[in-house]
Amino acid sequence: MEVHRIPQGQYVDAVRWLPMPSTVALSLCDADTGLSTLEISVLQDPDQEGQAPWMETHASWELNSRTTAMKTSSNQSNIAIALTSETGSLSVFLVDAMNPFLDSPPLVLERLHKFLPSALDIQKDTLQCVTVGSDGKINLVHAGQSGLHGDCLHDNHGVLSYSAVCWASPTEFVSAGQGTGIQWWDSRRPGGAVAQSPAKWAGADGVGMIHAVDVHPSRKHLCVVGGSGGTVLAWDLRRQNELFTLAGKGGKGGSSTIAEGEVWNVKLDPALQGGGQGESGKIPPVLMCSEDGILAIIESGVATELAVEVCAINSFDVDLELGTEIVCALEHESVLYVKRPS
Amino acid sequence: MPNLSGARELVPYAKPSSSAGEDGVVVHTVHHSVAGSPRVLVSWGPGNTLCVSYLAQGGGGEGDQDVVMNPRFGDENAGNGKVVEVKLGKKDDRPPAEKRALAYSSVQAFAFLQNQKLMMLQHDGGPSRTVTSDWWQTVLDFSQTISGTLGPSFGPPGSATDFSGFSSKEVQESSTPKIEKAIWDLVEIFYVDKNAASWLPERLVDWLASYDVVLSSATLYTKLTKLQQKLIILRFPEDDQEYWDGIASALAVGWLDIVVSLLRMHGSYQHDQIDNRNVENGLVETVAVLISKMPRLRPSLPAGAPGQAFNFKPEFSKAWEKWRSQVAKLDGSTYWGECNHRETLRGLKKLLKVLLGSIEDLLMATSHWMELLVAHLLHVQPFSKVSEGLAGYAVKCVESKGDTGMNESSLTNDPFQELILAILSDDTEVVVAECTRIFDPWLMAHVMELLTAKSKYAQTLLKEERYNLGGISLEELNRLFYAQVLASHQLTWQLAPVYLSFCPRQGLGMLEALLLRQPVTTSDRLALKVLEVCRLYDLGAVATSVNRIVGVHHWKHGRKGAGIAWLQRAKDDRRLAAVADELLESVSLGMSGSQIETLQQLEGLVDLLGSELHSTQGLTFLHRYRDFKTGLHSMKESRKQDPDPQKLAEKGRHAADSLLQLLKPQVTPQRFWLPLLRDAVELSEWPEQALLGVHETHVLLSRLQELSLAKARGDLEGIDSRDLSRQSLERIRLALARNLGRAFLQE
Repeated sequence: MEVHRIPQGQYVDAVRWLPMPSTVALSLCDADTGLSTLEISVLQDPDQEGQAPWMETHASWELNSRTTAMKTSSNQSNIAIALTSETGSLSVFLVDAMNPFLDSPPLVLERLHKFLPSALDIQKDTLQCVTVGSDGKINLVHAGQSGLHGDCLHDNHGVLSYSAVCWASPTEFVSAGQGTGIQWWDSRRPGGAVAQSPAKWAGADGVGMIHAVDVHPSRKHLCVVGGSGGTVLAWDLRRQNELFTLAGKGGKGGSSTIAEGEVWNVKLDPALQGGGQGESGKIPPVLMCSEDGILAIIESGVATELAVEVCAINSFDVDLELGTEIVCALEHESVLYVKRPS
Repeated sequence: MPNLSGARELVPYAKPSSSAGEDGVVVHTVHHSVAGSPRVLVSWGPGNTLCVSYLAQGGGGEGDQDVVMNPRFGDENAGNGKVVEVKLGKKDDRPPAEKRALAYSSVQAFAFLQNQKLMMLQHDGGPSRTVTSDWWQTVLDFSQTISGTLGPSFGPPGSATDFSGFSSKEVQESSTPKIEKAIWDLVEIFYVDKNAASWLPERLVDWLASYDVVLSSATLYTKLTKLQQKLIILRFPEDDQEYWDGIASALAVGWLDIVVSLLRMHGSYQHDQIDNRNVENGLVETVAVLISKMPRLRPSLPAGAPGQAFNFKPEFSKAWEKWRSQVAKLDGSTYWGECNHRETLRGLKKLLKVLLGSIEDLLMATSHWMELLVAHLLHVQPFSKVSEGLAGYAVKCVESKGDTGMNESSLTNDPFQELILAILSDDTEVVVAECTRIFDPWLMAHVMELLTAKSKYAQTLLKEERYNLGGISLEELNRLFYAQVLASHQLTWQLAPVYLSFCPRQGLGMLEALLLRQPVTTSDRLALKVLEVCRLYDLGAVATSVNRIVGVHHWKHGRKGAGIAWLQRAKDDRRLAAVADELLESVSLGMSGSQIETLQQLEGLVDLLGSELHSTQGLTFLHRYRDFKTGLHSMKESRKQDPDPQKLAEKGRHAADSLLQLLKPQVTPQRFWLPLLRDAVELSEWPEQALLGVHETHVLLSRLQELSLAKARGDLEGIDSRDLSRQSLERIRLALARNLGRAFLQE
C-alpha cells in the first residue's frame, strides 16, 4: 500500500473523485486571500521509485463562498459536481465528460438553507439532489439544463438538525443529524420520515452526533453512519429499533475502538463488495476517517488502519472504478492519496 | 491608520480604498446604527492585526455634528463607519502558506522529541533532570529532520556538471537556500553533533559550500556565478584575469571539483593548441592532478569528488606532509621558465601559493570573512581542534576583512556576523539574543532543543526559571511565544496545543484561554475540533463550557434539537430544565391546530431528553406530559375514525391515568396545573361514561383548591393571575363537580 501527502498550500474543503481516470474535483480555500476555488485536477502518479505523485490542475473556477459539502455524479453526457456553500446555496457544475473544463457558470439555487447547510447527495443519471441542513429543512432539487428547481420536502423549523444524507434509491434517502436518529425518507410520502432509528446509542456522551451516512448499493435496507466519539454504527431497516455498533465506545463484542475522535466520513467499501458478499447477516467492510487522523477499514469487528496522520482527516472518497484508490482531505492543507493493492 | 494626535482630532488613513493596499492595510466601510456620539474602537484582530474602528454618529441625525467633529470623515456618505486593519510588526518576505507548511511539518518532529525526552527522564528516575550522555544523538535526528523541512540541500554554485554543461542555471536561481537553514545547520555542528569536533574544518567547508550564497550579497558564490556566465562566450579563458581569480577563490574555500573542471577549460587543452602549448598544458594538468589528490581530514568524500579522504589523523598528517612537499617541489620546478603564457604562469603560481597557505593570497582570494576563516582552516591549520582558538581566528578574519574597506558598517552589510561569531565561539547568550532579533518565533522555539543538546551551560541558561519572566524559563518563553503565533491563525491554532503542553508553568492556562477564544458558534465542526483538543489534554471544564456555549447558541437560534444535544453533552441540567420549561410553554400555549404538529416534532426531542435525567423535574414532567398529550390526541383521532366504544374507552382511561400521574405531588410545577386541569375538563365531558372515578375527581378538585388558595395568598409563581380568573376556576370546578356526580352514579 502506498500513502502520499500532496500539499496544496490551501485549505481543502472537499475532495471527490470524478468518473474519469485519476481525476478529482477539489474545493480549496486560500486562507491568505479568502478566495475559494473549485478545481479539476489530474493525479499524476509516476510509479517510479523516489518520485512522489503530484496534482496537475486541469481547470478551475472561482467560487463565491466556502464549500460545506461536495458530491459528484454523472449521466450519459455530463459529469455533475454539486456543492453546498456557507451561504446556504446549492451550485451544480455540469461538465462535459469528454472535455472536462470549467468554462461555464454553474446552475445555482440561492437561499436553500438558513444556517449552514450540512450535507447533500446527488443521484446518478437523474442528477436529482437532496440537501439537508441544521435549520431542519430537507430540499429536493432537480437539476436540468434549464436550471435548478427546488422543492422543500420537509421543514421542522430547526427542531431537529440534519448533518448527513445519502440516496438509497431514486425516491428514497436516508438522513441523520443532531438530536435525530437515522431517518428513512420516501419522497413519495412527504408527511415525515418513514422509519426512524433510536436517537441514542450506548456509550455516547449524552447524545451522539452523526456526521456521515452511507447506504449499501445493493442491500438498500442496510446503512452505516459515523459520528462522535469514534463511533461507527450500522442500522438495518428490518430491525429499526436496533443500532449495531461497529466501532466506538460501549459496543458489545464484535466492535473495536479504532479512533476516539469524531468520525467525519464513512463508506461501505466498494472494493470488497464485488463477488463474495458472504452471508446476508454480516455487515460488509466499512471505510472510515476520523479527527484523530485515522483512515481505517472495519471488517467483521476488526479494524485495520490504512493511514495514520498527525492531523485530522476531514473527508475521503474512494475511486469509482476499482475502489483501490482513496483521496482524503487533510487538516494541514494537503490531500492524502492512498493506493491499495487491487 | 487614524492616529489620535490630540484629544479631538482624528486623521483618516491616507488611502481610504476598500481593498488591500500594497502595504497590506485593509479599510472596510461599515454601516451601523450605534446611537450617541462618534466613537473610536481599538481591538486586536487575528495575528498581529490591529483593528481601528471609527464609528461616526449613527442613526438619523448624522451629518452636521459629524462634519464639525471631523470634516474629512464626515463628507463620506457611503458608510458611516470605518474599520482599518493594520498589520503591525516588520514585513515578512516569506509567503504565509510556506510558513504554515513549515509549521505543519515541524510539529511532529517536535512532539516526538519531547516524548523521547519525557521517556528518558522517566527511565532515569527523574529527580536529577539531566539529559543522558547520548541524548545528543536523538537531538541530531531531530535537527536533521527539521533541516530537511527547511528546504533541500545545496552545493556550491554550479558543481562540476554545471560548469561543463551550463544546464541547471534556472533551477538554481529559483531556489536558493534559506538563511534559517544555514544558521540551523551551523548550530547543529557546534551544539549538537559531537562527531563534528574531530573534523571541524571540513564540516565548515561543507557548510560554506552550501550557504555561501546567503551570507551576503558579495560572496564567492556571486563571483563564480558571474564567471560561469562569462565563460560561455570565452574561447581562451586563460587570457582573462577573472578566470584565474575565480579558480583561486574556489580553491581557497575548498571547492575542488569546480577548480578542476575550470582548469580543464584552459585553452591549451584544445586540439589545435596542444602542439604549441605543450609545456603550458603540462603545467596546468599537473596542478589539476595535484589538486585532485589533496588529502582531506574527513570520514568520506562524495563519490567522484576530487581529493583523498583520511579519517585517521596520523595517516592524514603523513599524507598531507607528503602532498605539501610535492606542491613545494612543483613550485620550484624548472618548467616554469618554459611557460610562455604569462597569465597562465602567474595564475598557476598563485594557485600553488594558496595551496601552500600563503596568508596574503588567501586574503586576496576570499571576500567574506567566513570564507577567509574556512580558507585558513583548510590550508593553514587543517589539524585544528574545535573551540581552541577558533573564536580568535574568526575575530581576526572579521578584522582583516573589515580593514579592506569593503564593509562600511558591518551590521548593515552582514547582519549575521554577530550571530555566526557567537555560534563559533560558543557564546550562547549572544546566540539567543541575535536569533531573537533576526528570526521569527518558529526558529526560536525549535533551536532551543539544539542549544541544550549537550552544553551544560546552555541547559542552565535556558531552563532556569527566571523571576523577571514571571517564573518561566527562556525555553518556555519561546515556546509560548511561538504558540501564540500559531494560535492567531485559523489554520494553525490546532498546532499550538502541542507546544503549550510542553510548557510546564503557563502552558495549560494559555491553552484554556486559546480554546475558549475560538469562535465555536460559527460552525459545529470547529466546536468539535476544539472538543477533540479538550479530550486529548483532559480539559473537562473547558469542554463543558464549549458544549454549553454551542448549545445555548443553537437554542437561541431556534435549533432546538441541536441545542438540547449540545447542552446534554455539557451535562448542564439547569439549562436543560429551562429548555424543558420553554418547550412545555410552546405546547401549552393555545390549542391551535399546529400544536399537534409541534407535538409530533417535539416527540423526538422528548425522546432525546430521555428518562435518565430524573434529577431535573422539568424533564420528567415533560416526558410524562408528552405521554398524556399523545394519549389525548390519539383518543380524539380514534373518535373521528374508529367509533369502537370499547377501544375508545380504553384510550380515554389511559389518558386519564397519565393525567393523574402528572398531578401527583412533586411532578408538575404548579404553574402548569391550570392547562392540565383544562385538559381534565375535556376528559370529564366524555359522553359515554365517567372516565374519572370519585377518588380521582377528588384529587383534581383538591389541586384546584390549592390553586385558588395560592391565588388568594398571592404567591403564584410564574402564572399570570389573569389566567386564574374567577370565571375560569368556576368553570373547571363546575365540570369536575358534574363529573363527581356521574362517578357516584356509575359506582
